[in-house]
Amino acid sequence: MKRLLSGAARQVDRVSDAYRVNPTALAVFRIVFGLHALVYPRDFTWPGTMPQEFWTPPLGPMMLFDHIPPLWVLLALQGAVALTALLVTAGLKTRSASFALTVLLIIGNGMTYSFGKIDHTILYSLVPAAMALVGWGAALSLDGLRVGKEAKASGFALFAWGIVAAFALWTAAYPKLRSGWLDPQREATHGYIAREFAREPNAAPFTDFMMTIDSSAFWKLLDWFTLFAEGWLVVAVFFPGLFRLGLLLLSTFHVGVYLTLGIDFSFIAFVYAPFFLLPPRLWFPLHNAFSRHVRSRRPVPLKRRLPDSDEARSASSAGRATYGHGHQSH
Amino acid sequence: MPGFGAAPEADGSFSFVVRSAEIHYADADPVTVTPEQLFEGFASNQMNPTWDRVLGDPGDLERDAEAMDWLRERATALSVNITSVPTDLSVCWIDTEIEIDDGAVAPATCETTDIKL
Repeated sequence: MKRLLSGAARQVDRVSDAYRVNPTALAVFRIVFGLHALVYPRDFTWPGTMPQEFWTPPLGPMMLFDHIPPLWVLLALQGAVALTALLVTAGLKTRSASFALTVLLIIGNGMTYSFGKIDHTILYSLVPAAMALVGWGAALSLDGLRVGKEAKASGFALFAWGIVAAFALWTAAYPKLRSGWLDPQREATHGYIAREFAREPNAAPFTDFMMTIDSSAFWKLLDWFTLFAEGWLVVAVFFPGLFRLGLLLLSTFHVGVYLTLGIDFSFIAFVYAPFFLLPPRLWFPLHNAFSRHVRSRRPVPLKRRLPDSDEARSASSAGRATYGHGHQSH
Repeated sequence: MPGFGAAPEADGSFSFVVRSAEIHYADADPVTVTPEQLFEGFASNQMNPTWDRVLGDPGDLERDAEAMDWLRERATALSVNITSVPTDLSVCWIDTEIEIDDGAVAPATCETTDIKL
């Protein structure tokens, strides 16, 4: 049992290490996220102008509010989001500000979801807290200047974030599995595009074009691809390379959904992006391996290979200093 | 990723609800409005659920004075170039089916709720 546990721990360490990102790139991501939250804030104030009768909070913490909060409270919430986003951008009290930003975004979203429908933006709200754990405040931050420690990112925290994202995507795939998307006779994607077309033929740039495709095989493959793209990540997350590939596949899918159904999921880029903030050496593994190979075969000048000493000079004159030795000494 | 919902039937039919409303006046032609127009300012995903809940069968919800004031205000704001006061809001749900091959909507009758403004 002990051996099994230590084996599992080693495996987690190995996967976590493969998820480790470049702290500077992560810091740039932090700044971009903070600016996005500042410049394109989600509007949490509109509920304040609606009649109380419209308020119907879903099961959960929003039920603590039996009325729509007054407009000034919602304005204060919006202001607090802006303030924490500013702190996150500057990297000041980054960890506390990031957690506060997550809490404020969840409360704000809860307000706007209390009119009958829960939306799927929870992952965006969780990004600041998750990335604070990964270490997005370590570099290019006022905190980093004050502390002066070497910036490091936690691969394990990003691995955990991957599991959260993969599970969230699985929760989108599972209801589809249960409601006919697998059935070869039922064309689900075709149905939703046709519905959008019936509502408004030009609702999205490619809605009407898609309706010209008359191939059951094409539509069914699209359904199955959707299920696969959303569902397999719960397994792929344990293989960082595959997981990144899965996220790239899914990104093309989000673009497709936008172009055919007009559903804008661009916020999801903030959920996926951290997985691609790899150190430069990991971006081009083949190129790096090739460079190492070339370096290992390159002859090294003799005078650089040997220390400048009598012993070395005698070794050289005796013809014992070979290229192989030179390579080994470097 | 949105969860969407159930797949269409194997015969290619897919249920579809069309929502619209007509604002009536004492001495002007009615004006047709969509959920997007009536609930302008709402988050887009909250429009249809609120439409169904707030404008549905009065048995589901007692519209109070504040809600009625809000509806009157919206109806007036949507009465562009009409001087008379809105009198009624006739809310319509067409529960129909579409044919997924061509997006054709099957004819269906409108289920109506009338709200005195």
